[in-house]
Amino acid sequence: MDVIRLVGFSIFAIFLILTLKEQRKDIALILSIAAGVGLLLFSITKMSAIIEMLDDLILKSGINKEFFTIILKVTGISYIIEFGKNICIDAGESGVATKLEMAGKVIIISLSLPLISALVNSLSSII
Amino acid sequence: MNIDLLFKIAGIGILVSVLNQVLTKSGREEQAMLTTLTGLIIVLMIVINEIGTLFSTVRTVFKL
Repeated sequence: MDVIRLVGFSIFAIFLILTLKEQRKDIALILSIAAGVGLLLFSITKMSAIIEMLDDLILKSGINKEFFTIILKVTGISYIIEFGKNICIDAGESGVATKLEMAGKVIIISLSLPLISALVNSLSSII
Repeated sequence: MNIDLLFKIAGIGILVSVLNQVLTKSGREEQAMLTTLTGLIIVLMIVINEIGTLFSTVRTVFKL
């Protein structure tokens, strides 16, 4: 019954955050960060089994394994960037959040350059 | 997803706010400020450990 644990955890965290918000805003923010870290940690540890299965499928289908690794890396980077962005927005610094998002997009594009060049190469070989 | 962490942080927060009010009422502003700072640092130390475990998990799972 992981679902009930998840929802209970979130509701409990919300109660504590609402209690603390009037007196101490900084500690309420840190509490919300801790709750977010807990939830994200839970979902990512569950995700490792899915990734193993996908890895197996890629190995059987004979697609280039480097491409799958790039996609995996992009997914991880976007999770981390989203986490940081949400913390920035919660703290009321949407300017920093926007720049963080932009930096994440640049990192993702620079990481996926081999994919784009491979696509262009295969297209030019077809033409 | 351990709920003890939330309890710990919320407990420190409530304790700090109560201590802050008591010290402010009795006229010790500097000690109240120091108490607030100490509570914040303790809570930050707790959360930074958690963020470190989150980042290392993401690194191992997504092969970063």
